[in-house]
Amino acid sequence: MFTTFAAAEILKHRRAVQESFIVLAISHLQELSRLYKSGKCPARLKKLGKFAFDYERTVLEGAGFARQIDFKAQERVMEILDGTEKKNTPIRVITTVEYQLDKSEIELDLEEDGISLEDDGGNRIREIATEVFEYLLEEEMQSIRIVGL
Amino acid sequence: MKMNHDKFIEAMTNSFEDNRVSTYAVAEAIVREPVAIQERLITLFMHYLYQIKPSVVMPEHMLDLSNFAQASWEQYFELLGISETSDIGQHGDLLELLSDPEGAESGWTNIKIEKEYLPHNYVDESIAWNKESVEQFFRELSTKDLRAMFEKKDIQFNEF
Repeated sequence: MFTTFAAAEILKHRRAVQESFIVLAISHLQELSRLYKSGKCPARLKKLGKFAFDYERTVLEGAGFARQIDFKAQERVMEILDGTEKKNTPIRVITTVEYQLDKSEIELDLEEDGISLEDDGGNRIREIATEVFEYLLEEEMQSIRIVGL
Repeated sequence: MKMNHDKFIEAMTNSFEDNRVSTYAVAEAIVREPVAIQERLITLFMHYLYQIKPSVVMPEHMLDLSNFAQASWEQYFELLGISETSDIGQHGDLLELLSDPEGAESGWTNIKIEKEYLPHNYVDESIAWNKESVEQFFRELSTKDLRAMFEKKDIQFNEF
C-alpha cells in the first residue's frame, strides 16, 4: 500500500527531515483551517476545512503548536530587512490574534441568564472577545505568518 | 508530469534534506490543488503519525514527536471513527468518512484582529538580523499595533 510505504520511507530519515514533513503537513492543515474559518471556504474544500479546523482546536492548540515560521521564510525576510534581497517579491508579514466561539455555548450561557440570542444582539460575544483578547495580547500570542514567497 | 510513488517521496525528502523547501509557500500552494491531492497528503500525515506512535523500539530523541502522534490519534482521529490506518488505506476513504458540513447551520463565530506589514518598509542595515531578531521585531511591532486596534474596537467577526 503506497501510503504505508511512503510513511515508512519518511521514518527512515533523520529527525530534522521528519520535522520538516510534520511542519509542512501541519501548515497545510492550518491553511485549510484558516480558509474554513474565514467563511469563504470553497464547497470542494469544506470537508477537509472542517477536518483541519477540528484538528487545530482539538490537538494543535492543546499541544501548544503555534504556527511555525520556517527557516526559508525567515531567511527571505532577513534579506529584505538588511537590504540584501535581490528579488523584488511582494512578501507580507501577517500577524493575527483570533478566537472562535461555539454559538451553542453562547446560547446556553445566555439561557441561564434568561436572555435570548436575539435580545443579546451580540453583546455576550463582544464581552468574551474583550476578555480573551486582553489575555492573548498580554501574552503576545498572536500568530505570525509570511505570505507571497 | 506523472511521478511514481518512490520518486515523490525521494524528491520531497531530498528537498527537506537540502533545506530547499519553504513549508509556508508549499502549504499555500497545496491548498490550491485538487481536493484528492490534499486528501492524499493528509492521509500520508496520518499514516506517518500512526507509525511513530510510542512503541518499545522508539528512540528517545523521537519521543516528543511520538507523544504528539499519539495525542493526534487518541484525541482526534479515533474520535472520528478511524482506529487503524487500514480505515484510510485507499484514496477517498478519508473524505468518505468525514461528514459534509455543507448546508449545516453555522455554529461558530471567528473573532479576529489582523495587521499586515510589508518588510520592505522596515529595512535597517544597522542591525545584524537573525531568525530570532526577525521574529522578535514583528512580535513587538504587532503587539503594539494589535493592541491599538483592539482599543479602537477594530475587530472582525464572521460566522462559519
